[in-house]
Amino acid sequence: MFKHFIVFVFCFFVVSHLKSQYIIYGYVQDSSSLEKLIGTNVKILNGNSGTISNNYGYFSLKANKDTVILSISHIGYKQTYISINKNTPMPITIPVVQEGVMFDNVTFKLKKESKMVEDVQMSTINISSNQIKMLPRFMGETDLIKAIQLMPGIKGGSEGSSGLYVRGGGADQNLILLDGAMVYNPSHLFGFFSVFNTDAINNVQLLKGGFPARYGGRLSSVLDITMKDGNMKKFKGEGSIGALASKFTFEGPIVKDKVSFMVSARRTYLDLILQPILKASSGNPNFNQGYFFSDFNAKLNWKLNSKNRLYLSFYNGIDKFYQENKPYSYLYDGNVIKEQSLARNQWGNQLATLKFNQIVNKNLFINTQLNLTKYFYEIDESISNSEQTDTGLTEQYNFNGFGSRINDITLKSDAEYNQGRHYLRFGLSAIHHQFVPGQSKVVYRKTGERSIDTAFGSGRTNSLEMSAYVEDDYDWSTRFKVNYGLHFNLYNYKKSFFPTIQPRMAVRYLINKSLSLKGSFANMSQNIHLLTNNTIGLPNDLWVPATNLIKPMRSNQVAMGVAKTIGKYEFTFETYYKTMKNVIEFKEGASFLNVNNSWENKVAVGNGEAYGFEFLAQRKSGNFTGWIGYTLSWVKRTIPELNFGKEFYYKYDSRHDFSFVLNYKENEKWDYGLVWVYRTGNALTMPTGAYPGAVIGGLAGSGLGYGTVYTYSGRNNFRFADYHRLDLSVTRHYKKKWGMIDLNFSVYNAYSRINPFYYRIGTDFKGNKQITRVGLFPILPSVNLGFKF
Amino acid sequence: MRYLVIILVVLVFSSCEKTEKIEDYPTHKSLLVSNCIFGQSNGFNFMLSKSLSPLDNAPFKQLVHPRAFVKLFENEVMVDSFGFRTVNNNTFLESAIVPKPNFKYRFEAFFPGFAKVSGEDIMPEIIDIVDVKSSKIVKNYDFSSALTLDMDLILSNTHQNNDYIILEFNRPVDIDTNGASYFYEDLTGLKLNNATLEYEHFDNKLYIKTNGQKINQISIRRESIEYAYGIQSVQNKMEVSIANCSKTTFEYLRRFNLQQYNEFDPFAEPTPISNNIINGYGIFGAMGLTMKEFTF
Repeated sequence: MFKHFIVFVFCFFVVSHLKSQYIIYGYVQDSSSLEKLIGTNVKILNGNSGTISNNYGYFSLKANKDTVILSISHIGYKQTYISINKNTPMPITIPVVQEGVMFDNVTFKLKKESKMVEDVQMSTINISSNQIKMLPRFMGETDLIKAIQLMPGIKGGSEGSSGLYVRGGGADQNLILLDGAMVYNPSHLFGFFSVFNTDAINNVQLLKGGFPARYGGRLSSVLDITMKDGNMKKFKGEGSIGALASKFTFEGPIVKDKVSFMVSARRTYLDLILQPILKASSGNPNFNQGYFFSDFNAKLNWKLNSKNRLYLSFYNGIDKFYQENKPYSYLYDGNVIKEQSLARNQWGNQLATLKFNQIVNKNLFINTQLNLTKYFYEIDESISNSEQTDTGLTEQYNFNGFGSRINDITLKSDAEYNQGRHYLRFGLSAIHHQFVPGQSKVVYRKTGERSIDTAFGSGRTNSLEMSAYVEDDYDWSTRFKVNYGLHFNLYNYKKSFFPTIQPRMAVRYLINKSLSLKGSFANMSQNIHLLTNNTIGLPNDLWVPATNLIKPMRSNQVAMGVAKTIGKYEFTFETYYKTMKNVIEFKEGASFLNVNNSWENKVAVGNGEAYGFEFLAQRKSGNFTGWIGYTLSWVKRTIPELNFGKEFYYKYDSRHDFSFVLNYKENEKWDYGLVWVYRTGNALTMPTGAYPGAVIGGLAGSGLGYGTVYTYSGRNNFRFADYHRLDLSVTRHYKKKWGMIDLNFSVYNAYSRINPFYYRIGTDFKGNKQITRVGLFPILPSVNLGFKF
Repeated sequence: MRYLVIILVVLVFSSCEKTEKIEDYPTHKSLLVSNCIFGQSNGFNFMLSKSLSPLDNAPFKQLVHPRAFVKLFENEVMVDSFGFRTVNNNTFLESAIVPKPNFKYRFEAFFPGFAKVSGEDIMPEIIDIVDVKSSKIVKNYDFSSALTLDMDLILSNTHQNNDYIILEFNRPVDIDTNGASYFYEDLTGLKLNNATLEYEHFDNKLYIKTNGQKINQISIRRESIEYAYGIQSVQNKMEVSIANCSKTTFEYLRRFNLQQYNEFDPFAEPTPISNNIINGYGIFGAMGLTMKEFTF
């Protein structure tokens, strides 16, 4: 039987191969900057073959006729047509011209093909940095994550947060990749801003389901962000000055048409502005305190030859609260005393990626990459002082700190093999994780005394993940296309091994050129957990490995949908059902402040379930652009140790979620943005009754009538008030000889809705108990000045 | 334009808080609360009160009524019926019955204006501590002393059931309050009959589920890691309490003590308290308690 199967598969491939005449392959890129274009629809007009350019702008497709016309379409670019024959030298580089650019002799406008309808991949969100920049801004800052939160199926957690909760998944279930390197904490300032500087971004793709086999490691989403490569032709710069932060991006050729670079930096400066005021108010010239966050992106792109490319990219982002007393000395009782102190609370990501692209032959494209990822959180305080007396010098040093970090080294290789109707992808990867989930350190030194230098808590531990995948994009017929594959993962922690085989499948049936039906199934596994606090979102969430006690998470997701285009409008309707196994939550009564217990003792393990419907109507071209998104969803958890084993709604279960996004480009000078969002409030646990408890204190001292027992009708038994908000923006563009100036005025929360951040039970001035809804942001107007040259 | 600016400024600086209407809050139906944790040493002692809404301004108070009474059943046979009595200005609902191991006890409480409440539990056996063996490592520094103690508790072998055990350790320590003195004290390496089991500990207590194993030896390592200076004089003695609990009592005490322990921790997850009172709230739970003091 197996032999027959092998013969069948062999014949199938041979026949497929014989039918094909030649392969067209190469790169799609921006005509002016030579920046690669990702996700470009490349299609043979007088044939049935079509494909989408990958993360490197590379495409490959089969032609059955000697001469064909390639149609290339990309949002924001003119539709391009190129005639190709079998003698055209390959790889071919196709320049595509941006809309509004007045040069070209090969382009002409025709009705665009809809990638959304034709693509077998469903549950996908593509959003360009230009779309993000047109949205109203929060404190003057454009934000990638906040833009994505406006899409159906995605929730942002609490007010102002840049968290991602995709189709009922947790904040830890998103694989966030920046140029292929994993980002563990994508937010700044307690989650109000994301770490991604939109000026440095080329492309963003978010997958909510139907994950192809090439992705693995997380249950709920893949957010794949590609940084700009840098302009190969000329030096370009852009930046902005805002109320909170300023940023600047500079790119250009090092060797024209061969090597380019891009650097981008962003920093907040509230601390610098407030420093003189704080010093004056403290009355101490040596006193200094503040907060800032900063990002630095850099990338080098080296085109070795027409077939080989090398990329080197780097990201460093940090948030830092600091309070310091710079060294100072004074006289006390005739002795000279010197003192200094520093308290810090800081966290950040550091990423580095080295990639090598190679077109091995007409069929085979390989990308090999090495990624380094580091995420750290530290809170510490150090005090040192010395006293010079007649008898000698006495020095003392105290240090108390808590730290958590994760370091990853990833080596992976991905290949794409075009075999005509079969487009195969396969690859290997290995990730070495090093965790320090949470460790306290104490140092005490004093002249003449014995020193203390000790650490306690959850110390360093390692784990290893190895993966392999194979995936086939198969054109069964002109109407029916299937993507199927397997993702293998072997996870090792200490002496335990957890192997998984994860089947994936996505199908598309094209009813006509403007209507398709889609379906998908994805089995996913995740070997890493995030201990996150449910009460207040703080950066000291701890990443921990799956262990024998807390096993890897698993999920199955089935989704079905319809994609339809009517003129310039695109419509998608999707429904999904997802189950999750081994999801974790903090146990009842657990607190991350309690270092007495190891993290494994603080968490409870159980199952999750999510299902819902999503609708998206969008228009991506023309003067009016934007979208309407609606989600109807349910998210539940069942964890034996919580809620007395009964099922409960997840914290971010929100029945209705509606977003309306409208951008209007009046002319070359003015454009306007409007966002209105509405969603049902999040769930939280509130007491429903209280009575005196029976026992307090030691067992021996057990007594009656002490303490208050709070009763709860269930976990997450209460709902936040509904969330809604209106944001508005207006942008004036000034064209200058040297470039462009954009003046943006935005209003966040235009009607100053008090959206709940948390609830507090307290008393009013008469002593009556009351519940207070505490919001974070009332109406927040902001101005931002952008420039580009 | 001027008015627009004024409106904007007023909006920006207006408070971002709003008091919710109380009616929006889940309603609470007040029920009779009966609290009684019984054992051989303390017998049956009830306290009655009523539950309140968390938003209620009234304080808790003990309910007393001349027509209120409690019926007590032992293995479904009524063995006592009693009302309130006053001793030294304190009012009690108390029975002279001494609970017997492995007997089921049930109560019914009647209070005018409330529905009858009831509950039941089985009295566990007392676990005697036969011997305590300890070896200590005292790290004496100039400014403090830290203590690591390896302890073996040898238990009597006469008891039958011990699924739920609470262990408590108290080490009398005199701390010189003039110097900041902190100790990180941990109970680690718990072994029951030389088998490592999962356990939970906070507030100097260990909560152990033995999962059906009969336990006659508990080995434990108590670690102290000093991390700040101070002056302490440590007494060389330790009190050990071992409570063999019914499941009801164990869960109640574990959850209640956890709720109290986390009272001022804003990051702690809420802890719902288990309740075994029918038509009301509270606890009717059994506990066999033994205490032993030893020196090292």
